[in-house]
Amino acid sequence: MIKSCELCGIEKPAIKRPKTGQGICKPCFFSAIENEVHETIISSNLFHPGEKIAIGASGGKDSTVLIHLLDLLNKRHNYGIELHLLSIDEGIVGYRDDSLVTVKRNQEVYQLPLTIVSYSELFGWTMDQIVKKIGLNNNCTYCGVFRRQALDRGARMIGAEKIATGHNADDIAETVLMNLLRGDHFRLGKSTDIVTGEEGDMPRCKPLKYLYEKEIVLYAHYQNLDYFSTECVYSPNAYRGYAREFLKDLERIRPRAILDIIHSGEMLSVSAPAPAKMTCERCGNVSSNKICKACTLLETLSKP
Amino acid sequence: MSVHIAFSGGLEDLFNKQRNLTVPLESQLTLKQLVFHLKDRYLQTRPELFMSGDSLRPGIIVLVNDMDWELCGKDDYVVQDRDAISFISTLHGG
Amino acid sequence: MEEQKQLCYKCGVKPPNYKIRSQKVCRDCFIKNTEHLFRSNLKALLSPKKGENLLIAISGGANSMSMLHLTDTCKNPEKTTKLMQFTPVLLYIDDSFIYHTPQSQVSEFLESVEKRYNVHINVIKIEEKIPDIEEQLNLPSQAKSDMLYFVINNLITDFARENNYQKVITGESASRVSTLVMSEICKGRGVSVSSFSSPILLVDGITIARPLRELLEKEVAIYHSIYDVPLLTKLPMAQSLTLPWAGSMDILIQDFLGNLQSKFPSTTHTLLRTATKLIPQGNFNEICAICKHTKDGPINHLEKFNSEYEDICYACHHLRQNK
Repeated sequence: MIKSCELCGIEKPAIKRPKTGQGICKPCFFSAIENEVHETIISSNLFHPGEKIAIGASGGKDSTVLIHLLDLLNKRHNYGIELHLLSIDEGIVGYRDDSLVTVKRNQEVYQLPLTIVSYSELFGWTMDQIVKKIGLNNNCTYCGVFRRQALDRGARMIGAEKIATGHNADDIAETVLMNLLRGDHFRLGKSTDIVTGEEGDMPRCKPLKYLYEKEIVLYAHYQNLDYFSTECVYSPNAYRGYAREFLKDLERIRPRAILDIIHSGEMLSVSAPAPAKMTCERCGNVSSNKICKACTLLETLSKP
Repeated sequence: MSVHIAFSGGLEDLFNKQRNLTVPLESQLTLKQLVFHLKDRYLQTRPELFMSGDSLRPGIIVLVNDMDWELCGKDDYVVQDRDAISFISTLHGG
Repeated sequence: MEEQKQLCYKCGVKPPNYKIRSQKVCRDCFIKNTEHLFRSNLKALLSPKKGENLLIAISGGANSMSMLHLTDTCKNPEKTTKLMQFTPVLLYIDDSFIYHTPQSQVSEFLESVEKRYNVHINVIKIEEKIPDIEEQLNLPSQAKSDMLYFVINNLITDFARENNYQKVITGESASRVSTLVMSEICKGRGVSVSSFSSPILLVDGITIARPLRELLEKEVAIYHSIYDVPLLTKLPMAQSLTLPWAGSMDILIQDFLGNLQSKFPSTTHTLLRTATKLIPQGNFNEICAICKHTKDGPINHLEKFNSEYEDICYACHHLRQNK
């Protein structure tokens, strides 16, 4: 029976840390998480003084914890960065409106500027309209492409140099497995990169890369952070569901497997030539082809 | 009615090393139900090597009268008197 | 259920007995296909010449025993006009000490194999070659079975090298290799996935080929069942009786891939093809002392190692450390 926190040896343990199995007290848990993310930021040189960072804010637990930590660590360790919340409104009635309310509360709590960009203003379509048109088969593809461009455009709008997203260890491990199963060996190695920026996109970084989803949930809970927790109403890719369930089962049997999968991914890469950076002939945004993906999809949508 | 069950590929080790069983049945069962029946009444050890969730483990091949169960309706096939049902595994023994 | 009469996709004459991937095949054509595939793989990978020694490593399991049976067909003029007249040399690494298999069972098995295939089997008892094996394997079941796999592979290569057998075959099937790929990635051995999954490996100057690498476990299962090939099974070690899948990552992964395969028939094939393309980034020149594959080290701030384990890879480090 563990009598005291395995880290400080003083307080009573309150939490069993998912990643390490250690029984630790709340203050030590908070320190462990905060220090780990700080280490991640420093060892990967994620930020430089004077940079403006757009934080992808969805109102969910990952982005809420990300905002909290970046704000806290920026002040504590003097990163010298300027934080700006960036939220994307895909136009999903019920789901997105609720989470945007949460983001607005985040803005108040942390006193950070917030910019919201919507699919309807950028592309002329909401996700609700898109699903009505094309059904539930490829909707996630559309959303993914549009979100990427929306984040980029939003970030440029606010004058940011980088985007920070709340992807966690579980997300990354899941992506590695998906790429493995789908046969996408090009993407597999890249999916573990902590900073990414394809096709001339603005660089995106993942400061929460090594945090387990469980740890994020626990941190948010014990810090009483305000977040909105529902899955998107438009059901996710069925295949990803298999990978996700497998990962959860795997974590039950061997918690460190998530980190091990990430390690495996980090060791692998295929050297593919970097795609040429051009400008889309339709919308003028950066693209790797004459017509960017977003415009290609929009063209499909405009057909009867 | 009764059916002849054959285990091979190491599965017999889960059923007291019996390679062949004659299993009496009181009513007609589907293969799905038969699998449960075997697990409940005859399996001695390591159930996770026979079943996964509520179905037969994916690595186990079932032949009904030397015909792939995938060609006779799989789980839903209704077992007949004197059917010879083989459960074959490789158990990744190497 | 359709009443439509289905015929074997190959001969078009007989009704099908089995459904392999998406094809319906009769028993005779299935046998012919399997044997032909094996022989052409063996030829393509190793091209064993007449009178040349071919070391056949058997474990007693369905995969390697089917492989033995298949090598036997290579010399049978009724099975093939293109005879392969290599000299088979058999090796069995006796791990009964670890699995607590009664000696009588092992002897009975070996005798039946020698009799049936008219071969002599070289037997190496692990505990005789490696006196401190019990200590080395004093690990939880998952780590124990992983370590055992490496120990056995190393003993096979040692034997081959000591006796100058340049060409070795082992029985890993497509399903086994794809499970291996997935589980190695989940254990942090991503750096050596491309060699783990390769149809042919070069270890310490010995060439090891996997002629069954194209066959699904279903095909191996049906084949060994048809020929009632003698087996000596060892049940996979259970980690815990309370956790699902007995706490074994390997059993979970086998089930996961098996389920995916049944829903998406190209799963195994895609995994195998992808695995060989996963080349590690950076310079990796050293070999891990335990698994004998590429040695990598810690890569991020969370992975600081104890310098004691510098001659082994990341995953083997955790294997030993027992976490």
